[in-house]
Amino acid sequence: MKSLMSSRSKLLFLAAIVVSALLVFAWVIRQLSFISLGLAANREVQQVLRTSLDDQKKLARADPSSSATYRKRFDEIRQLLGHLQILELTRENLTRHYELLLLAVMAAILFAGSGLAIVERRVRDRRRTQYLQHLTSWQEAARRHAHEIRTPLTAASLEIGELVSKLSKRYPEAAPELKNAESSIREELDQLRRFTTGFTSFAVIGEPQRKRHDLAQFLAEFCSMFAATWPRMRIILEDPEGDCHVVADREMIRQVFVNLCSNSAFVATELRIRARRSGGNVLVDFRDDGPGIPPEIRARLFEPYTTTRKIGEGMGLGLAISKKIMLDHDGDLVLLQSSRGAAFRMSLPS
Amino acid sequence: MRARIAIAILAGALLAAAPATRPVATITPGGQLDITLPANILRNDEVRKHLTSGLTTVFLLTANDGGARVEIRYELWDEKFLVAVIDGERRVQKTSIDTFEHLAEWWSRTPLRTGKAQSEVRAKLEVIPFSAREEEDAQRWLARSIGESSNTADPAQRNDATARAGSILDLLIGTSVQRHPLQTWRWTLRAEKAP
Repeated sequence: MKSLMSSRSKLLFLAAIVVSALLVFAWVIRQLSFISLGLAANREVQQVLRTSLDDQKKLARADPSSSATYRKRFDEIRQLLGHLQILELTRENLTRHYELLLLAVMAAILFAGSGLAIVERRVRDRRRTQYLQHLTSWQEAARRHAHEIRTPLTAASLEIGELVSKLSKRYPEAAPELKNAESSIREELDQLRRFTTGFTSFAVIGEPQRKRHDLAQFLAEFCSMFAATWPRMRIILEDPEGDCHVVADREMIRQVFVNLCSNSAFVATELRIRARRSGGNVLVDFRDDGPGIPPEIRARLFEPYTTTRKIGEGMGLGLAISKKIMLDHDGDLVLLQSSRGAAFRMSLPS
Repeated sequence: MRARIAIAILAGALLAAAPATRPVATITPGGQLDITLPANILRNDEVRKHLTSGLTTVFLLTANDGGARVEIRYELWDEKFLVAVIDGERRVQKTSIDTFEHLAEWWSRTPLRTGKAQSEVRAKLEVIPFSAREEEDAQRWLARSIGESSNTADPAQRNDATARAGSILDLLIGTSVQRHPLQTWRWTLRAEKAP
């Protein structure tokens, strides 16, 4: 399930908003300090203007014939001084307005960020619900198929033994041939039984029994125990980053590991596994050097019965089961974009 | 007993001689309310300092549903206080006073007619540091100053974004340069009939 916007894009988006807001604010402050507050707050300017007022008065007294000129200049200076005094008196108000502007910008950023997170969560939840509903109908179908097959299978298995036994008594000379035929039929029935077991394991995925585990340690144990299972593939476990403790069902998570490793082992010679902490999640990436996932099936890769293998080599349930397990853990399993091989990321809340 | 009466008379005389610190509300024979404000308002440090700034200090008195306004501007050229009183009946009375002490004396003996009389008066006095006209002048001057500073840039380089930001700044200044009281007093007074 692809998230609406990746964490990286979100970070860049928020950073762009913050930088824009700061630029606007810096511009406003520059304008403001340059034009008004700088002048208004400057006591020296006001003092010079006051002195200048006194000078005009003194000049008018000294030269009464030009009194009107000095008076006109006096009024101009007085008006300018008045403007600066008003700015000084309202400076607090001005500052408060700019602070409010900044607060509004910050609130808008937070609101947009929260809104984005809520939308993203809702979209994710809706997709998750849709996927699980879809999967439930597949599970129900699988359960019915398994039941329909298993009943005659069990009967056939019992009947074949009895039939061979009776025929062998009646036709002792044909006993070896009958034994061979029985063996051959049983092999086919076993194949059919394995097939139904696959159906059953998909149809009945239990509730996870969660306990706290160190996923990094669990992965290390898994790799050392299961490495021999896939002799043609080298598993490279990279050093974990951060605290990788999760609350999960160990057996179920092991099943996911096994499914992912088994898929890679069919086509790849090397599989790299890396666990790391990211926010409130622990992420585990599985990257192999195989041919990768064909583009035409990427979109429906996690749907049941989707497989790249030939008929008879697999039912295509492994990834669907793994996805269901991860969703039941409030985590997820997603296919990553990769230039080489297949890459999956499982995430679990820590 | 005589000593007590003498002390009481002395205390009463002292109280009567002391400058009033509360407004006095009186009901005129015509049923109007007059309020006389105490001089300690003008002597308040912040008010007194502002009175000689050259800006018009506006004293806005509201009493129940009525009110009156006193505008005092210190004329820096003539070094006089120019006073205008606009009472509740919209009558304007103007005067000029040469010193602060004379102003304080005029203030404490000038009743302000606020409107119809009521026995209980809720009065509020706000001291506003500049007049509405001075506020408009300052806003215009500031907007012009900003416009001039913006125009100093190469017009070819100015784009719509700059113009929009400029408008936002104008709006901010327009809403920021507003009159707010320096001081506010509130009283509840009992109006007495004028003798």
